[in-house]
Amino acid sequence: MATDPVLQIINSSIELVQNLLNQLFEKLMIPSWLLYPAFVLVMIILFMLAFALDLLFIIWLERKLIGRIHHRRSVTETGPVGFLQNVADVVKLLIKEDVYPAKADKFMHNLIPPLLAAVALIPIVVIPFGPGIWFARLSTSVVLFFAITTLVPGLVVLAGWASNSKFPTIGAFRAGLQLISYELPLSLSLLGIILMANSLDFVSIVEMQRNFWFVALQPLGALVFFIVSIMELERSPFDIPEAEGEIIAGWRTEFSGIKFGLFYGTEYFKLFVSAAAFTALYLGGWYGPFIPSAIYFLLKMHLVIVLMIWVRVTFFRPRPDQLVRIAYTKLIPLAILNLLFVVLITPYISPYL
Amino acid sequence: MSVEKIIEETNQEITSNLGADVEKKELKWPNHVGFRLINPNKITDVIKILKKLGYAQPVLITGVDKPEENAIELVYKFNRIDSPVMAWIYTSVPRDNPRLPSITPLWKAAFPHELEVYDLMGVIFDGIPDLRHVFLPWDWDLGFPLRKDWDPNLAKKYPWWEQVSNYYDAFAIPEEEVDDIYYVSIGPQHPAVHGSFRVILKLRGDTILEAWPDFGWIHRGIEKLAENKTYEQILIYTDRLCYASSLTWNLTYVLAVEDLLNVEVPERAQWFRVILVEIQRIISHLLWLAALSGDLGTFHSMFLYPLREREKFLDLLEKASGARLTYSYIKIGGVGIFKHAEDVPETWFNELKDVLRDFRGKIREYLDMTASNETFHIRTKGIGILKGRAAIEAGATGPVLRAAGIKYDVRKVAPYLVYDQIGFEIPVGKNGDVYDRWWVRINEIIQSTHIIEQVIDEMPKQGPLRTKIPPAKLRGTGEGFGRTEDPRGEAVIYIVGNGTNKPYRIHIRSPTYINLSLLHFILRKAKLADIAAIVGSLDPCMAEVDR
Repeated sequence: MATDPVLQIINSSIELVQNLLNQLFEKLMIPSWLLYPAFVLVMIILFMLAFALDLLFIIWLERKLIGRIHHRRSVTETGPVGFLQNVADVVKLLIKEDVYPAKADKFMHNLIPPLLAAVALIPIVVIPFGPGIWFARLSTSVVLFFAITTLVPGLVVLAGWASNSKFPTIGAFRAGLQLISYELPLSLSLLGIILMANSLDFVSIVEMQRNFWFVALQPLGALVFFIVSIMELERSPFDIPEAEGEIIAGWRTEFSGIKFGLFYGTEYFKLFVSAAAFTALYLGGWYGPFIPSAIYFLLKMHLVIVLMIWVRVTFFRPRPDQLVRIAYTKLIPLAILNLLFVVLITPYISPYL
Repeated sequence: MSVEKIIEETNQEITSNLGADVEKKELKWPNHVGFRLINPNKITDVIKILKKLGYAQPVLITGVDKPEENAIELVYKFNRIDSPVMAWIYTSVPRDNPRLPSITPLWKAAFPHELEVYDLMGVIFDGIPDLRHVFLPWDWDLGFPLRKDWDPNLAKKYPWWEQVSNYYDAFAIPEEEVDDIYYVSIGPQHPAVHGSFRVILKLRGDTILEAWPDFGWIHRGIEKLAENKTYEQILIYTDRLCYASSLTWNLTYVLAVEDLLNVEVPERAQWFRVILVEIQRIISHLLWLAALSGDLGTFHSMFLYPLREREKFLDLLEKASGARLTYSYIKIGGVGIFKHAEDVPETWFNELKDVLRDFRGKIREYLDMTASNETFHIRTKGIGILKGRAAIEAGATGPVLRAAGIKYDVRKVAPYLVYDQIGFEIPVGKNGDVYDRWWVRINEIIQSTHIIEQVIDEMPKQGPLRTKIPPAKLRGTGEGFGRTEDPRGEAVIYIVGNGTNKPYRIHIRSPTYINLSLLHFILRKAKLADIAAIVGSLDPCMAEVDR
């Protein structure tokens, strides 16, 4: 098997970092047992820089795309084609005053924003971006992935509760309501994938799709999973916990400054992670002709993100009770139908996978 | 029933039932019938008779302070759904003990009007369910601003800084919330209330048990200010009554002043005013459509599309009048810029036609985005229901009343300008929910485009646009009355002149104020999430409420 060019670049850059660190440590006479932690730290910083750059691109893309759909220009002033506008926004949020509600639980109020951002980002460790390009490969990585994403609404409820204010509390409980409505169709549509791939591992699920993408084999499941992803992301039209116009900003009403900025970032961490999961589960991960695999994965992932942005400006937000009704009377039956279909065709199709 | 017959019947019924308590008052308008009630305590009897005779709503209740007679004159006006006849009841209460029976128990629609008269004039209505300050602060006891002898310096004595630090109000939310019942204050700063007003909600779970609208956060006292301004200066204030429809308020005011001063308006100006007002109606409805869509979905495309088309109409009005929002373009005696009666070039009308043609296609785009969108249907159908007689009873006017299934449009019922020579239809809804209000307004936009096209073809091509009135002649005595169909409902301006160049009293009936008072009825049993849709569907314009 010819090694993947992206993997080669990554491996050589890892070697480069190691060599540079070695030379640096020798010159400065630092004890060698510090080498490995320093290496990990440098790698994390490098990865986070790349990730932040992509995140900036995603936010810029969303603003630009929504602007075009709205027939307006969107960001144009800061940086080339407005690309640095988000940097300016983050700086603005950093220098803003941090305001607490009088009766807020200050410890929790401060703890939740970074915790939420971290939890939202953890699932990225099991995403396979290309053959051999992943942080961790577990035999049960799908379970880990969805277990951690389920933690997010719990933290959202805590954020609303810690604010000790009415609109955040309403928004927080709406997040809980949203969790119980999307969790079942999510698991059921996921079950179709697990059955067909006969694995709980992201990498083997992607490898099973080298001939057929699962989106072609179970389009119904893909549809349900896509809708449920938007519910999980709390993005419009399912932005019920933070429904502007009804409950101001929902659970994040009382957070200001960089705490709000962290929540804003978390939204995009979740978008990134969720689009990556959809790509790995349904769109055949890194498989595709001509272009190197990891680039293929990123292309597909950004396509999913574009789709989600498009949905955002097209549909109106349902009411919380309507959301539960949609989930239980439409999405669950569709997911079960998909599961039935998968059970019927898997014996015939598995030799060709 | 013909106008004469209704007037005759009203005369007969009231005089025969009340005898010496009432005397007939001659009014200068042919279609109106007036009475002076000598004993104010008999007001409830008059109301019962009027209600039996088929009068629909108390359109306005207002007071005129007359210190030299030591009396406050109260004026009640009642409209009909089926004919232009209006009944006017005048009655006087002594200034030192202004009490008379409330008509709210008989006619719910009178409630906001009576509250306003109590608030600013100090007339106490016996039997009103909840007599409180609407526009003034809840604990205001520094006199009644609309009385002639009220000293404006008293307002400086109100300790507002203490109120800010020690916040407490008439709608005190109970500290202890019983069981699963809780209270939420929507507003005064909230995205659902387009401006600043407040709805107090009593909730169980997600369901609203009761709602109380609360106004007066930005009240400017235009009625009081206008008493110290000349008739031409007040025109500038009417722009500011509603930022979304300044021209219609210009028109309502100008009609009232022209009625007071008996000014003849050139025919071409009459037609041109129709064009301007209908453009304003389109602009106002587009802004409403955008705001409602923005409430129903965060950053929805329909929030921007109507604003895009609104911009083109704004550009047109800017070319004609020189302003984008506050036009002051419809003047006393005609239409014109400042003191000159400048004509509008022929190309302006061609441009307007082009804009309208493009706009037709855009309406189809709106329908694709909303009517063909399942999520729009589930959000708007079956919520905020107010229909049939209940809507009339509660005092709704305008698109809200028409969505309730009542065919009532001042343009048809009591045509002003040249509306009687123009063919157009009144869209009427069936269920009276948010969806029907949307449907009525979309169809009104379409009808307005038809009206404008007709007027462009039929209006006189030559002729003056304005009669010039020397400022010395801008003085009138008696009463002036302008009644128009505002984009939000029935707008009325009532002026009393005393022979000087300033009005003695000017009263503005704000349709939004009455429509928003409906929230008390239509928010019951709704979900908390519906509040944006329901409040938005009433098209709130707070500048007009807090006039």
